Amino acid sequence: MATREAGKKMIMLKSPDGMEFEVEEAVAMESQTIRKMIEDDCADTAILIPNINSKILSRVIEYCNKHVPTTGATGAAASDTVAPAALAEDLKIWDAEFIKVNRATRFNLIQAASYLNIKGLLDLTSQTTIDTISDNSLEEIRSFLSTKNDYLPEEEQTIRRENQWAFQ
Amino acid sequence: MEDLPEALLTEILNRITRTSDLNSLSLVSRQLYKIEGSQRGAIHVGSGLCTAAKALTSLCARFPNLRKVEIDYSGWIPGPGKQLDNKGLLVFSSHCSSLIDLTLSFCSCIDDSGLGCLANCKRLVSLMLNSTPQITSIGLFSVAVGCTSLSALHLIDCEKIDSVEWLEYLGRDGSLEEFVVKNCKRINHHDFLKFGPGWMKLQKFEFERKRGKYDSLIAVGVLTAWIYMIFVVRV
Repeated sequence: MATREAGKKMIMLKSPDGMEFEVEEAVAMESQTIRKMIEDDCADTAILIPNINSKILSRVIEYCNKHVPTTGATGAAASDTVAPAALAEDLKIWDAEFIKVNRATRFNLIQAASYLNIKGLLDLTSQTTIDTISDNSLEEIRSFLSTKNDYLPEEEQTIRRENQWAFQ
Repeated sequence: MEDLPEALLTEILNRITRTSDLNSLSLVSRQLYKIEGSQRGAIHVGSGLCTAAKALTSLCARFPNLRKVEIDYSGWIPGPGKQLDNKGLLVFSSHCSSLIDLTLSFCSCIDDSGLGCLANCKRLVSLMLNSTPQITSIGLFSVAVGCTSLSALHLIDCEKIDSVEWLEYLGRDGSLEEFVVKNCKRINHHDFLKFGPGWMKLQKFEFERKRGKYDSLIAVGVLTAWIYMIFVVRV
């Protein structure tokens, strides 16, 4: 449902639970997957985004809205008043707030970023996960990844030994 | 892990660079051990390495896709443990089929027969020998003949390398682009004449000897002469 609103082309995104989101084409095109659909002319009507529920999709759109490059009249005005470095710093702070979500939401965001191919969002969500792994104990990592220790004690010992002598 | 598919988990693990983080992950569960092991591209092993063939084989099985291996015994204190020897190198060379970059530093137990095993590594692109006192020209010749993809060779403090058939062979049939020789006291500037047509492909060359300025000046002279000749031959 491509409509025009104040000179900007709009795109309709639909989540599998029936919610519709009208977003600017430029914002939607932050996703390489959607960009390809638009370029291939597969986006005449609403684009159904499978596997991503409305709650996650709205967060993804929120991210893209913030990260869409500011071009055109408004963009030029913005970059006249704000230095690029300050803008980047501002984005970083915004990102840090954005990613303060629970574990399930974060995993859903990783999956969405991967499916929609949004590099910035995938970098952000992955890095946060890596930080969690770095900062936590083995038990905490296990609970974070909701996985169980399936090693026999002697196997675990062998790996610990191997880790010790082979990596300095 | 039901909520994060393996492919995504692999992608995230791929971004981890700190060895200690990778090691923690290997202890989390069998699935992570397997994913992490197959992703690991580089290891650095040294004094603590258990050199028993069985342990090395299991290490290679754990990391089947190693591309870069660095074995470094600097600061080694002789004691009850053993350094990696020829047999150990055979294990590495025969199990790591993706190996492209190998560094052997202060490996005093590896000699020519060990180096000969590297002929298994058809993909080896870069080899650095740093203070490997037992290696002679014979070992280098087998590398020159066997490792057909070799494009970078660094020889540092290798005292026993003297005759230069290997250099002649590499110059004629090799594809070296980067060649560094430092403090190998039996290789002198005249020897590089044997490298012949190899100079045409070479992009980086460094030669250093402990004796001082005179040698390096002559080396530069030899190099200039060769570049000039190449130019004349091409024109």
